[in-house]
Amino acid sequence: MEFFVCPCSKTGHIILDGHDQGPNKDNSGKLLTKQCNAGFHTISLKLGSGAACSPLQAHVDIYDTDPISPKEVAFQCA
Amino acid sequence: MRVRVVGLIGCLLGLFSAGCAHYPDNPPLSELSPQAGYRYSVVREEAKPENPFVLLAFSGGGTRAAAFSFGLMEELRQVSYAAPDGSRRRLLDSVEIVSSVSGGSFTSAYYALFPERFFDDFPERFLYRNIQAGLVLRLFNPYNWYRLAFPNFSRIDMAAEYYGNTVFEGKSFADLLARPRGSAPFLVLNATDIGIAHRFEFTQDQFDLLCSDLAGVAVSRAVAASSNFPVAFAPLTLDIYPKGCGALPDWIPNALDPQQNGEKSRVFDARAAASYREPDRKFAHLLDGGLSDNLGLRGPFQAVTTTDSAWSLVQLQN
Repeated sequence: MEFFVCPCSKTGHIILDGHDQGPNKDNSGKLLTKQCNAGFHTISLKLGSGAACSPLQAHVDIYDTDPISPKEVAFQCA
Repeated sequence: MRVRVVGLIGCLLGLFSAGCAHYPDNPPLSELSPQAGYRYSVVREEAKPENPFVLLAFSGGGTRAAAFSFGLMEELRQVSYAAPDGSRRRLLDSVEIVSSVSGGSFTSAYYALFPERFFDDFPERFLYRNIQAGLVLRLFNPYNWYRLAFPNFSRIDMAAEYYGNTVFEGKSFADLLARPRGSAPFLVLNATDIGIAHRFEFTQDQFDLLCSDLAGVAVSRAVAASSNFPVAFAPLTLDIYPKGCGALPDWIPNALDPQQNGEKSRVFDARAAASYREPDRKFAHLLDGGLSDNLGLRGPFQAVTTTDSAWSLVQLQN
């Protein structure tokens, strides 16, 4: 099992391979660690306001992670 | 002379009623819809973290496997636990998903269709019935000789009909979908696609790859495919509609891209899934699920270890 987080100044929903994985942060603003299997994934961040995030889609290879040091897939949102 | 004419008319009527015997086609699907069809997210309510999440896997093994899994369900009915609100709940009511193969598929499918009367009539309806003798007797019916002479109708289609008439009351996946949400576990009947030697599950997510609508498929056909013992029966055929109905799930092209996926993880599953969209692939030929996974555990294993599965538990955890 692999682990990743999506740091961003805004809170949005993480879309992994087309499936909603829930919010990237909890109510206190702490990043939530998500799980996935090893390999290439397509990740995007969807804001409730509909504002666009950059990159629109991140293609990332997630491997050799653990819950303490998850892969960071960062987004910048307007 | 009169007897001959009556006999001839009788024969002609028989031929007309049989027509050109053909297996029941699974209907096409014009457009994919993640919110419709026989999928986990459609059939079950959102799982609550405070409740146990029970996932059962029923193995193959003929009537013995069906009886064993029935016994397991009886025990689950007896076991109860204290819910967070203080009430007692049966563990049986916390069963979210049942994945099954071959003989175990008779039990799981019957429970998913008729959970209210499952414990009352499943033993009489299936376990004490001599299914094998029933199937053999059908081979002595001249009407079936005629039908079996056609290339698009084989013994497995006859068996599926028999299961539908005697056990499953002709119900289809549309009937499973018509049940109130959360009133029965999500049923995953597993067969083997012998053309690609890969597990094949009867869920809408799998049928999306075939651009076909599972709601139009009889449950008895799925059970027949899951318990389709090689040699005794020919493969059960499903139609693939190659015109396309929507894109493949994102994880498949990701896994198949050699530039990106250097480690080749998930390639085997991705190739199997993508093969249904190859333009020259018109049919899927299914045999017993035991050929690819006789424990019914591959689907659940994929669900608890990956986000690729359409009923991924990792996704639920996230």
